[in-house]
Amino acid sequence: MPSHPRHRAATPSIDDAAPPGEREGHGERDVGTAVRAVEPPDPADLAVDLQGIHKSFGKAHVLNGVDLQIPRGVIAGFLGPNGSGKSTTIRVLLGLLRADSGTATVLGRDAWRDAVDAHRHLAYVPGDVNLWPGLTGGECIDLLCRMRGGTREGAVAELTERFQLDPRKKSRAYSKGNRQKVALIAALASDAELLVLDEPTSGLDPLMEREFQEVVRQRRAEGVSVLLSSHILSEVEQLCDTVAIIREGSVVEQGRLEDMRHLTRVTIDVITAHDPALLDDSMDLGELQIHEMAEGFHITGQVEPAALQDMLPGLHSLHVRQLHVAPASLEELFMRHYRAEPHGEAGQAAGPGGVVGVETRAPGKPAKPDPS
Amino acid sequence: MTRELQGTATLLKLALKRDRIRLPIWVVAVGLLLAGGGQELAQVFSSAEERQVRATIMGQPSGIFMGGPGYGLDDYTVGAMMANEYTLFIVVAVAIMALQTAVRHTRGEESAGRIELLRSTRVGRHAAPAAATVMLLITATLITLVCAGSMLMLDLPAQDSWVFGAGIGVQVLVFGAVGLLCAQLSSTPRGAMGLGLAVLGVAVVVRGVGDIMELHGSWLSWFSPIAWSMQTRAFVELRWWPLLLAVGLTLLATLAAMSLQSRRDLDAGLLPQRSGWSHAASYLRGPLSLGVRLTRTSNLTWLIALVLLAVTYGSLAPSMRDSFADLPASYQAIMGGSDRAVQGFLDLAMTTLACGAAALAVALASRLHGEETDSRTELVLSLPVARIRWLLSWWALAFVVSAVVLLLSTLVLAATTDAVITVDGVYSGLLLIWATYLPALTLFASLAVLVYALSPRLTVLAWVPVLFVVIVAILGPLLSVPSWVTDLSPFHHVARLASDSAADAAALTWISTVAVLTAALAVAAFRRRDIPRD
Ligand SMILES: Nc1ncnc2c1ncn2[C@@H]1O[C@H](COP(=O)(O)OP(=O)(O)OP(=O)(O)O)[C@@H](O)[C@H]1O
Ligand SMILES: [Mg+2]
Repeated sequence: MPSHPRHRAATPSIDDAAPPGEREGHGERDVGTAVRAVEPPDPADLAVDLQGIHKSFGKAHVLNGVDLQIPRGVIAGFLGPNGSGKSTTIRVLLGLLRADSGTATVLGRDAWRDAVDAHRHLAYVPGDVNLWPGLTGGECIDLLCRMRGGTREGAVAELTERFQLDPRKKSRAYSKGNRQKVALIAALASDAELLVLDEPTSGLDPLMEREFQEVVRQRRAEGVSVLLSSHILSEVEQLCDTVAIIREGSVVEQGRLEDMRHLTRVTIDVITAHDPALLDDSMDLGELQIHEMAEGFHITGQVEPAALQDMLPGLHSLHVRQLHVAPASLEELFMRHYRAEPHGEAGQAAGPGGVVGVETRAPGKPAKPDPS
Repeated sequence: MTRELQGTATLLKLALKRDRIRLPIWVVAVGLLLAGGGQELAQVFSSAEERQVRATIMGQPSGIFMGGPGYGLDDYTVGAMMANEYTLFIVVAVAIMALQTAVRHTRGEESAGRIELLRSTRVGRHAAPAAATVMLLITATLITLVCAGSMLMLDLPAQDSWVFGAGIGVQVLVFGAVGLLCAQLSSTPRGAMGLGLAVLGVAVVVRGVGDIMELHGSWLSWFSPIAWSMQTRAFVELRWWPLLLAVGLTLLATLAAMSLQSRRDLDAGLLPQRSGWSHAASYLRGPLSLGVRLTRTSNLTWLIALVLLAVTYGSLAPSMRDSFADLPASYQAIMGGSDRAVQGFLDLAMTTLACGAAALAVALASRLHGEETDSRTELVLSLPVARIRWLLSWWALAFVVSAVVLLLSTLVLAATTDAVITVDGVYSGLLLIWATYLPALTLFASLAVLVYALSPRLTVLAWVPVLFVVIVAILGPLLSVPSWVTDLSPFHHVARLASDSAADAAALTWISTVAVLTAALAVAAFRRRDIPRD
């Protein structure tokens, strides 16, 4: 059975969402280096700066030298398999856990020593939100806001309305998603410079997820930095400017999403009128798959970004009827890290050469149009 | 019905595993108390004359309220004495254990979400109450064996010993079934436990008042399940049929619980959930006010319980004086004359109230542990709330609330005593005594906070000092504990009415200093450690 062309709508460009000044910034670089090696950031511009954080619980070494830099004013995705150390990293930067070694700086303050001061300027939503069962949602929100100080005028009412939360219900009667909403409303209503969100949407329905994304974008437009740990790739893809991937307690890749895409192969999907077999040997279609179909010859597969340019004359001569070129989806990018062997893989995976052998699958979800 | 019960064995295995330490400790503790206390009593009151003196006291309203309906007072044998004076004490202990067992294996599991997890697999609707019932049957059997065994060790008649043991064991079933019922009504384990304890409290009072109305029990007594075990007249004129009432009530309550279970949703209670405020009251703005808000219901319950106790003690003061007036002169001399007897009784009342306040202080400080395991501490400490503020807020709450509850119940004790009898300077005297208990209360709060700060998992150890003090204060005089041990108890250094002794000022200063140092140590440890840590 001939395979159907995979029409992948272009993934929403993060350029639309990136803050001004970040848009055209990637310039040229050595393709062979890992993304995190470029653009050494100015410490003063960092909302979060973790360097060489080690943390173990008894014999279990959970963090093995985490390096994580988040520039101010961006939404940073934080990804990694279960148990890779995301929540632990977040607790270190909140000063809840004390790192065995390394430095943790949050908004220019030491995460452990100056925790209280740092907390005046950040808001946190835990991964597992537990509230006081005897208090209503509204009471919890008010209490959290008052203990934090610095609440945006009218924000609580607006957000409560927006997230459709019934604030009169006792917390013990809330579902997981509703408990999360309470913590989210309290955090988003604050005038914090940094939002630390640990899987904040794992219990939200798609409608609420959309509201959440919209509010977070608004906050970024106002200059708020966001650290968003998540397992929802589409969320990260749509929302985040930069991404860090953690595996077994160390960050194996971090950088701008855009740059990462450039490092990975491009998916192409072409229908030509003429048989590619007619091409001379100078054009290597290598790993691409070719099917003959009623409407022509269907060429699909993935190529290096650099190879695309060389292919175009050949394709041109075959008479292109349809052409889809899309950056590799985040899913393809991340699966590699999620599946990679525990050790010695990170360096290789970060470079473009590490992509070989990645399975390509039909993307599980149609890319959503950018709501904004 | 069999489908509804499917998975009971699995849950039972789980329950046995969870209780593998708790159950044996309770059973052994009950056995030791009964056997040890019995040996002591038999030794202290070794002659028939001494026991008859004791019988005179036990025939007074106070004796009846704290003891039993007074069977065998004419010929107060060791057996009659055990049955009359120990039944209430032991029944209250096993009833609390039974309530806990019932609640934790039904409502407790349910609100922890484990039942939901299991019920979606192959566990029937009634499996949890059924497993809890089997646990209760096992517990009741063990308690019966231990209690009967303790009596047999005193060389008491075998048949009476077994009925006495069964009388205690059957109360495990009764209050276990009450616990199952409460677990259906309330939607939280804490609420269910509170409801169960309220039932127990009513049962104690009804039995006491009923028996005071008429020696050997009036019609009112029979409304309390506790009376049924006492009405077996063990070691006096044995009859076993009152235990049938207990079995009947157990069956009824268990069936009611089962039928309620099929009528409600998982995780819901039958008592309605009110919808609350959409905004927090303006006072609610920091850790301390949060603590006040979270504990207000339980604080009120404690206050009511201690005030009731104070009223009971106060109203028993005249009978104390009268009974001592009837006692042989030698006996009076030991207690320092009849006037002194009332004052000694008030001292004892204050100690009892202070034990309650100490337990309240530890219970309040221990809430820190629950806040952490439910990851709310993490949420609070992610706000600009310093660790020292969080810890000391709960410490202060524990101390202040227990002090205020003790103050109010002291005033009530003074007022009720003053209403029924004239004792010189009862207000000022009792208030002075109250003040001398404060360093000890601070110490208990500090110790609890320290244990929590060092290792939240071990927070339950904070109860050890309270237990120690209670045992020394209540059983110390009876068990002839060496004086260096009693000196270790902070309650030993308070002022007393009977001896006109002012407090030991040096000791109180010491206690206060240790309390403050302990709290400082707790702060240092808490600021250093990971959160959450188990
Ligand atoms: N207090 C602790 N004691 C022992 N081990 C711990 C402790 N806290 C975390 N760990 C371990 O550290 C590892 C990382 O946990 P962490 O919660 O940071 O993972 P995560 O990346 O957030 O995972 P998830 O995606 O499931 O939320 C896990 O293996 C966990 O078991
Ligand atoms: Mg996590």
